[in-house]
Amino acid sequence: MIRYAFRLACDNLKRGQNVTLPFFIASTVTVFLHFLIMTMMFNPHVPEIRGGATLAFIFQLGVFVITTFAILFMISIHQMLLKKRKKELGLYTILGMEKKHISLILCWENWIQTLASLGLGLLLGLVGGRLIWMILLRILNSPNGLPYAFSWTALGWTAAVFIGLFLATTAVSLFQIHRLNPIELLHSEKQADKPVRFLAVKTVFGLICLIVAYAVALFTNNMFTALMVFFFDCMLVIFATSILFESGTTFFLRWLKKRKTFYYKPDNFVAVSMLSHRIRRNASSLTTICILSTMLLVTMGGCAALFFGEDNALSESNPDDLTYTLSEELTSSQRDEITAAAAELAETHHVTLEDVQIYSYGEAYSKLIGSTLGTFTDNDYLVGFRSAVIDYGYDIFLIQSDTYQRITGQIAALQNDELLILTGNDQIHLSALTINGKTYAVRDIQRSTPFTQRKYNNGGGTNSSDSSELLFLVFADEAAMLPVQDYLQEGKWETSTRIGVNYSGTLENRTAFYEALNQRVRGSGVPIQFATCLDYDRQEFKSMYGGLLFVGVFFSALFLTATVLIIYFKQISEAMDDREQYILLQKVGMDEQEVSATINRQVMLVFFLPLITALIHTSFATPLMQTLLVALKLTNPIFTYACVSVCAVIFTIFYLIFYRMTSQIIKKEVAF
Amino acid sequence: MELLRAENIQKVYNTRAGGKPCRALAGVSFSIEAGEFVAIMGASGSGKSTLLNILATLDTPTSGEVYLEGQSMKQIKGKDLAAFRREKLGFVFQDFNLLDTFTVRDNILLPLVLSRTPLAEMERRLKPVVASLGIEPLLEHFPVEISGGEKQRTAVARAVITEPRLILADEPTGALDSRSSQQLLDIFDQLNQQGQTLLMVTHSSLAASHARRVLFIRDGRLFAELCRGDQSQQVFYDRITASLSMATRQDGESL
Repeated sequence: MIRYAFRLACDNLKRGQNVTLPFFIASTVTVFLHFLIMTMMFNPHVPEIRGGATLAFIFQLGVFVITTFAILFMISIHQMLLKKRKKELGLYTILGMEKKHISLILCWENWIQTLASLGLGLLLGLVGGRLIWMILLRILNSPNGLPYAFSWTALGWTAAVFIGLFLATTAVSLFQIHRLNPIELLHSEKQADKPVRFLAVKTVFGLICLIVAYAVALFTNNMFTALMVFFFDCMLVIFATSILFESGTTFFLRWLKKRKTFYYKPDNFVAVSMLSHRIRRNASSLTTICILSTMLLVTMGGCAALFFGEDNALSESNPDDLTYTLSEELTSSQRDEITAAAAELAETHHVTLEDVQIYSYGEAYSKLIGSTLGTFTDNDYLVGFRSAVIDYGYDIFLIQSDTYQRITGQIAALQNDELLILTGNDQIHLSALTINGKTYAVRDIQRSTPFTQRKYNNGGGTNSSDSSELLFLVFADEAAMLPVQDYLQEGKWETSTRIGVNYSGTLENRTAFYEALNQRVRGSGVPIQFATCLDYDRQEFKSMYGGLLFVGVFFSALFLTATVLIIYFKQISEAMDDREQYILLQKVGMDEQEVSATINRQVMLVFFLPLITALIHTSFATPLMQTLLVALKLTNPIFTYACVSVCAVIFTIFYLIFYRMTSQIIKKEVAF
Repeated sequence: MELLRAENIQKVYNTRAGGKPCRALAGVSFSIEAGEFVAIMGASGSGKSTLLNILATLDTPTSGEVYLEGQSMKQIKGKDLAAFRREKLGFVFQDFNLLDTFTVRDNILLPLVLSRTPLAEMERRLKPVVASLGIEPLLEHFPVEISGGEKQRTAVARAVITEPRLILADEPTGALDSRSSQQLLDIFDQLNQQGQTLLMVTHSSLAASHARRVLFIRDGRLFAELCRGDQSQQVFYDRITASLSMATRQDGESL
């Protein structure tokens, strides 16, 4: 019997090619991806590289997500396939097979599929792993990066996960076979839909959920709230989508049906009726497709923004090649000493020194509302969906006119009640500024001074804040500045010094120069609060964002595989279900052209409903994602939106190609 | 007045390459007067379903011609054929052929909607039809929610609502229990009395006994014809069974 069951299982797999083959390919891809990311995780070289700890964490997270997703995805696809086959299995029982025989056949089928996809996936992983690794290193632009290392542990884990999955799916099928009687098995395909109740209520509820989720995504402006609500918001959107796909569309179509003059037209009549029937039955798979597409778009867009926004993020935190922020004022001799040291070391290490900028300032993070500059109250620090600190917060650098004069070489003849604003932010237009009850006339707003126009960005300042939030206020003298500093710093009296050094040369020379200068500055005993070095940070960014991109590409590939497979199965099974209906329509008097037009219109609607919904979801998710990305110094929203849009376009093109491909298969399937 | 005339209909099915062609109809000719109720009887494989499909323009004969009201069906092409089927013919099938996605009301209205009938006209026609068939309370139900007899009455309603010249019924009682069958046949009688022309293909003698005239088909040929005349249905039924058993006996002898 075992051998007979084996033969039957082989036959079944061969016969059901248009179902088993895509499933096999999808499982193979999943095994392949799982194995690859496992190999990454167990790569012994990861901790050796710079930023390795972050990378290891990203890989662990990736393994967790991919494993969870693979399990859920495989089990649900398995369930779906089993459901489709109940009629066939019922026939086996009628023909005299016992449940244990059927179980045996199913076991064999599952085992063959698992072994084949596991074998092929691992083989691909072994052969292609190194190749893909190299391609990725090339993308990361670091050919000498992390070396590839094959790991038996990874292979073992992947095999264990998928054999475990085999056991789980087999157990589920056996349980289902055990529970059902043959008559039910025979008829399980044709069952009446349960009527959906409380349509209007559910629809309104779903709409409210969606609007709330969208509003939260749009109005959250700080990353703390964003981090907290992100998960909740995702769940809310998934929930709202599933309700709206089930009740909302039914409600809408029912409303269309009630408009009799619209409904009783040949084009609308068949389409509306069939759609309402179909969408109700497919609400869950449409939701899955929609959510998967959204996940794919957000992941792809986010990773692309991070990776390609590297320069943006780098320049945001590194206005100069090398910066130091010191926690006290420097004397002019100390200043000269550092400038001289830089010049001397530049010569020894063969780099061209472009600029050394040293100045002292009083810094305060303050609230600017209208033309009033003040301090934040405790309430402002409470973080809700919006945070006052983020909406009104500006980093204020207070400097005196002699500093301004020294750096710019221009004379600022300011009165006591006058000030000069230096900023890279085009949105600032003030003619007067009130601070602590005293109004200062703004003499000028200068947008291109050496304070704000640094080598890598137009904001200037340090790495501590967003460049667009930085304002320099130039006061006539110390006497004019002190009360303001006292007020804004709330009596803390802190004066800092910023050192910015720019230089050019080969990477090797630059590194040597940086190390020598760093040693000199640190050796001079000045109190360094923080320091940034562009070359150093770039390396850090590469490994972190490279790892993120890597995992992101993996996720995208997995989500894409899942989406494609679900759509394909849906299309095929629907085509089979509808075949009868279309033949019937022809008998009753619809001509062939009308029938194929109806098919096209419906397939298109079912295909594009999730896509369009996913695009809308993504467009609302992007601002929320952008808020989170600010934490990673990706402060340019336009850039993020552009990345997401490009991903959306690419995805849509893929989707269209796939749509064309499946419609061909379907046309063959329903051909009369 | 002659409504339908079939002239020497032949249908040959080509089996797979090299196989012997299969002759389903070997020259069938008959005609039907307007207002007649004709049954075609035959065993499985006798060619009766092929004949009906040809009369219904769902299939084309290999040779021979079918005329409806003097118009040759051969001359109707493509798009017009669907319209012709919709407007001139009504169908009742063994397995009802209702669309699961439509309510009973929409199933009945389907052919009218396809012909772009105005809404008011549709409503006007729907009322008497469903009233006479007793399916008025079911209008908003879906086919899966109603019984076989109710489904078949829905199918009849769909067939008659276009006021067709001819109703073609293919084993209409085949999937029904005896009570529902009786109900359906009574409905056919009633329709016929109102002047509706009906052509029914069946292998049930009881169903055939409701017709005014019965044509017997065997191996793709018509071989006998019985007319009911003034006889009661019961007497006609006995005559039909008698001729059937005679035919079977002849078959046995010829073997």
